[in-house]
Amino acid sequence: MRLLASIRSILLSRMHRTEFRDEMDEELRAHMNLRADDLVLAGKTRDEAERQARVEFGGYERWKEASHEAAGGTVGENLLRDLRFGLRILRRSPMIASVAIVTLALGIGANTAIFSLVDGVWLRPLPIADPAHLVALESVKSRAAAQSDQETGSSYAEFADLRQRVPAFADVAAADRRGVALETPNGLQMLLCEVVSDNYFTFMGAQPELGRLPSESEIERADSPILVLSHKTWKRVFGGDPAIVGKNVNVKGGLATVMAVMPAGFRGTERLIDPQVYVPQSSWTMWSPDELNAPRTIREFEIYARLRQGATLDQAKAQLQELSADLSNSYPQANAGRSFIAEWQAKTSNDGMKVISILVLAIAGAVLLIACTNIANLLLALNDSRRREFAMRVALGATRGRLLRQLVTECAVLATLGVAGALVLAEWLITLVPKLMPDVGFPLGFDFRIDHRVLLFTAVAGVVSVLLCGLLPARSSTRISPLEAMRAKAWPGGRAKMPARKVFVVAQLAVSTALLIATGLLVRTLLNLEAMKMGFNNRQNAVLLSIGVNYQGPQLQAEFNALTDRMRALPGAKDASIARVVPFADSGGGATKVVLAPGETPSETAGMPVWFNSVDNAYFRVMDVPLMRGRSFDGRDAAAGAPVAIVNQTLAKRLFGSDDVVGRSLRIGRQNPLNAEIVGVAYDGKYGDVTETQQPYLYLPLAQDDQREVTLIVTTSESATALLPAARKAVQQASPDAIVLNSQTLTDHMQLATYTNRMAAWLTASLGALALFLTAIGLYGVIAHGVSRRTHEIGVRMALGARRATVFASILKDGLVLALTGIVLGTGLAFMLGRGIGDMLYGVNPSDPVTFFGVGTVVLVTSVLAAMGPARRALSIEPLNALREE
Amino acid sequence: MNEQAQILPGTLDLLILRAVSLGPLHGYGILLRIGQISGNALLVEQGALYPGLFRLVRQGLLKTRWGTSENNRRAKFYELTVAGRKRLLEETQSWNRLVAAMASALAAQPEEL
Repeated sequence: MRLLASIRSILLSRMHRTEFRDEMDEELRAHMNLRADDLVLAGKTRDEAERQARVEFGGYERWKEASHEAAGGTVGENLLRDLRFGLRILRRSPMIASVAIVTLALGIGANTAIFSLVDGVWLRPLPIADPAHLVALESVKSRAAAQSDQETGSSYAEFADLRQRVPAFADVAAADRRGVALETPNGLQMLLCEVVSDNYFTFMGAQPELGRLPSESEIERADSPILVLSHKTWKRVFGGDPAIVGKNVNVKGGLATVMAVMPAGFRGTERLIDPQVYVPQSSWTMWSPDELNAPRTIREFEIYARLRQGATLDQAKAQLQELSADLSNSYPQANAGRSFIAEWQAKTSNDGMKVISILVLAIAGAVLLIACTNIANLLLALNDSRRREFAMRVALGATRGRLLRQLVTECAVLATLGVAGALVLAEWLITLVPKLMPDVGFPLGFDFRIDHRVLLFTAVAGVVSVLLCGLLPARSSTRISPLEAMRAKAWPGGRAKMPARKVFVVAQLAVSTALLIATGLLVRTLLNLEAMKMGFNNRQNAVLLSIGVNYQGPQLQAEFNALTDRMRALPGAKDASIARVVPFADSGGGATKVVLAPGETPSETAGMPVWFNSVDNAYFRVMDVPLMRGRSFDGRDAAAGAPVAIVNQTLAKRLFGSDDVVGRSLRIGRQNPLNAEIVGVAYDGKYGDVTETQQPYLYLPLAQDDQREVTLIVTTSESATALLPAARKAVQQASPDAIVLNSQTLTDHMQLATYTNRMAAWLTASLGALALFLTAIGLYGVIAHGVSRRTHEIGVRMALGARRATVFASILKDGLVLALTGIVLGTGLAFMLGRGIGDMLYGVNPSDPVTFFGVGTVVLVTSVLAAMGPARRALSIEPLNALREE
Repeated sequence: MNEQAQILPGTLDLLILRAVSLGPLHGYGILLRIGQISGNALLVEQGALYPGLFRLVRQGLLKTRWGTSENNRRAKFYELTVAGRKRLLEETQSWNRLVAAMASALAAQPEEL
């Protein structure tokens, strides 16, 4: 019978929900009318009576909700009601609600944006078949002394060996990045080209968007070179021409047939760049036949492999050891001391990026933690002021679980709004990223986007945040003895419940302090790097144009002279020079020449590889490279003149033990060395990387060392950015055959050299500032809450004669104790963090006292400022009012 | 402080059952009756009555019908079900036991121990 009634009641409330609600409304209104009738009888006017009846009834909506709840809704209905109720509570405290939502949006938004970056550079599987089982191969040289020995690519000949002689591999593919000049209606255009082994497309298991990917044998037998376009190139360069497949296009070097268009998002194994065209090696060598038998020492290809069915990576590694030994026997000059190593590609991809990614993600996680504790504190405060409501509901039979569910629902409402805000923020941050990217002259392929993976991450972050910031306060807020709470005021006096909040704030302060210390260290690193002597004037206004010129011998030299003359005549230009490279080229130190030590016998393995540059006579003057001894190159050092060279101090000391070497002879080359007279000694500089140890360096006269890809340097007394387009145009006019591969200002070029440091400093600085900001809000909230709880106590103390200054000081002291505890803990945390980022620091100790002290001061001052507001409010407490409130 | 006492949690149900046991009543009437039978010593916030009523209906202890009040207003009337009457009896006995025990405990003198 009772069960039946219960079911009926529930069914009724569920099936006829609106009728049920209307009926409830009618009943409650009847109650108020009846009460009003009585009051009228007692002599009130009707208006007065109705008003009083409403007041006596209490919160109408609240009792209606509670009644509905008591009548037993379904879970979904309860949820809906909780949602509505939650929204109402939040609307009633708009300040707390908006601070919580904004905090959450900032915390989760930063995490979402950073996760999408990490996903783009590292986590997201490559868009190829079975990316998890791709094996990456590297060729490493044991005891590689010179940085030039540290390249890990392979030559095409080695690729062929790897393909034939490692049975554990089902197939092996090779890829290398080059540039290809394409003739378009708008003139020559440089495209970033992936030169790939003929089996590349089959190997990657890729399907074209348009056309057909030719098989390996087809490519080998093709009469003319084959070109495969990326989706973007097809759209941008060819206007999305649907009939592009089968068309011939003019490429510098010859004709090529477009065979296919790859789908958007395909980029082979590349993560950081987005190749614009793909050319099989067989096609490439039709344009450059001299590359057919490229020496084994030119290791430009990246090699990938897939295991044969049943074979293991360990078997492959063993077979690679054998092959490496065989190769160093057969080709001692190229392969002595080198061996192939293999690892799952997913594990090896870009180690430097991985470290930075983990670091930044961890920092962002810490910021989210701070945001969550802030919200937890806010909710604690909000819930504290609702104790009476909770108590009432418990008294009316609501279970603790019911209240918990209510509170979690409120959190979920907050989280949903926060996550929505976070996605908007993240989307915006991601659109900012390309603007922060350095101008490297080719399309950077960072593929950052908010896809299902990122959404999943955000959802998880949101749920975790709710659990963290909702459940903790909910647990303590619902632990209510109804009797106790009903009798008490809105919240119990004294300082109960504060410890949890204080722990939160101390944790926030600690994390912020540690973060800011890390930021300080990275910023100091950046400053050190920027103040570092580079060995040339890297601060002058100049433009750099890397150009390709298709001449040889005297014609080439005449072309160079014509170009520099033309540049010097540009309005605003000061001087011009041509060099093979400038320091900090994209390829690092770049190519090397082998130099023999005095007395060393020429042999296949003799000498040391040294980075080198081929420069014209103006280079030392234009780039401002100090010459310590001797002279610069000049008119005497022509093609027909005696071979000469300039060495840097390190090379001089390495070879002769002294830098007084002008007039001595230098042998360049391994087996048939060329004698060159040293005419000058140049100041040591940085060449490949700002943090490199001092490297030996060799300068040759451009006139005696033909280079067809060079960098044109034009200095100006005015804006380099303004000069850039004029300079580019002037090159085209002076030499229509020359291709401008890349053009940028020296300032941009130098920014690139310190780009990683800049990004690391920028990221930690913004996250650190966000953390400190959130922490200040948190501290403010806790102290303010403390003051409002102690209003009565403070009133009493003042009434008993406490001076206002004493009260002010006692509030500030509360804040200071928290701040100092947090700072001390944070310093400890920073010691550990500092060790973790040690590799990224330069010229600054991980426990640098200046940074530690400075950051400590900043956090302390911020804390004092945050505590100041509530402390001043305490001052304005009127003892009489405070006492009367009781 | 006035002479009225806040209702102990859980006791509202018992009061409602008792009030209704004397005859069908609408919500407002129940409030008046509680005031009357307790000598106006017990204070119930008016709206707080309704969640209790709805819960008792759901538990099958009360049944309802719509009717007309003495001053001709449409109102919902509550009366006890059989189960409700049984529950009232049980609860009253258990309450009396509690009160007796409490009273004897509070009245105990040191020498009686």
